[in-house]
Amino acid sequence: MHKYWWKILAVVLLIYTIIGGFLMDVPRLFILNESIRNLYFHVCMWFAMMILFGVSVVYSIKYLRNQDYRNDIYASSYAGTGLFFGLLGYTTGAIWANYTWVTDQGQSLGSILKEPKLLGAGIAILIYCAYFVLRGSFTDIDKRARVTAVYNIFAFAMLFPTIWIIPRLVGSLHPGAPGSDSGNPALNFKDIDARLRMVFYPAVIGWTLLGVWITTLKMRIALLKEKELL
Amino acid sequence: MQKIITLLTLLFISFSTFAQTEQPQMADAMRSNGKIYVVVVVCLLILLCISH
Repeated sequence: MHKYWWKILAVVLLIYTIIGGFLMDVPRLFILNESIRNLYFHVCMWFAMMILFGVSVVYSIKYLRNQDYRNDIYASSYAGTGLFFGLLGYTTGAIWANYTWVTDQGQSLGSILKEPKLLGAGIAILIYCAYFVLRGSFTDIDKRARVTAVYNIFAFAMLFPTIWIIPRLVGSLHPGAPGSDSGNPALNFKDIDARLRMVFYPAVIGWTLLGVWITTLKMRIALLKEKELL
Repeated sequence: MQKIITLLTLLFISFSTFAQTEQPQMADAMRSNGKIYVVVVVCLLILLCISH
C-alpha cells in the first residue's frame, strides 16, 4: 500500500476527470460551446508532457554527474512517454481546432498553417524525435548515454521557448496569446474560471501520474533487458 | 374529397419547404449538442492510444 498509493490516486483522479469533466458545469461561450471540456483532456496532455520531459532532463543531469547507466534508462523512458503525450496533445488539438478555428471562426487553411503555436509545438516534438534518432544511431552504450544526456538538456531548453514564449510574442489563434480573439478564458491563468479549475488541476495530476505509471512499466522492461549490464 | 387531399398536400409541401428554409439538414453530428462529440472523440482517441 505504501508503495502503490499513487496508482490508486491516479485512477481515482482520472475517474473524477472523466465524470466531472463531462457532467459538471462549465462556462457558456460562443464557438467553443461544450468543447471547452477538452481543457481536461487536450491541455492536460501538454502539461503531462512538460512534467515528464522535466523529470527526464533531471535524470539526464544525474547521469552526467554520476555515470550511472540506470539514470540513462530512466531519462529515455520519461522522454519516450513525454513524446507520446505530446503527440496525443497535438492530435487532440488538431481535432479541436478543426471544429472551432477552421470553420466556426472562418480561418483559412493558410492562417492555420502559419499558426505559431502549432509550428512551435511541432518543432518541440521534432526535437524530441531527434533525441530518439540520436539514441538509435549509437552502438557504443556509454557514448550514447553521454551524448543523448547532453542533447536532452538542449532539447528541454528549447521546449519552453517553442511552445510558450514564441507564440506569446508573435500572437496566435491559440487561447492565451495576445491577439487571440477566441474569447476563451480557460488558459489565461489570471481569469481561468473557478468551475474549470475544480476539474482541471486534479486532471493534470491524474494524467501526469498515469504517465509516470506507464513510464515505470517501460523502465522495468528496460532494466530487465539490460540486466547483465547493471 | 379531392379538394381536401389537394389542400392537405399543398399544406404538407408548404410545411416541408418551411422546414427546409429554416435549417439545412446536414451531416454535422460533431457539432450537435454544443460540440460535445468533439470532447468524446478526443477522449476516445486518448484512451485508445494509451491502451494500445
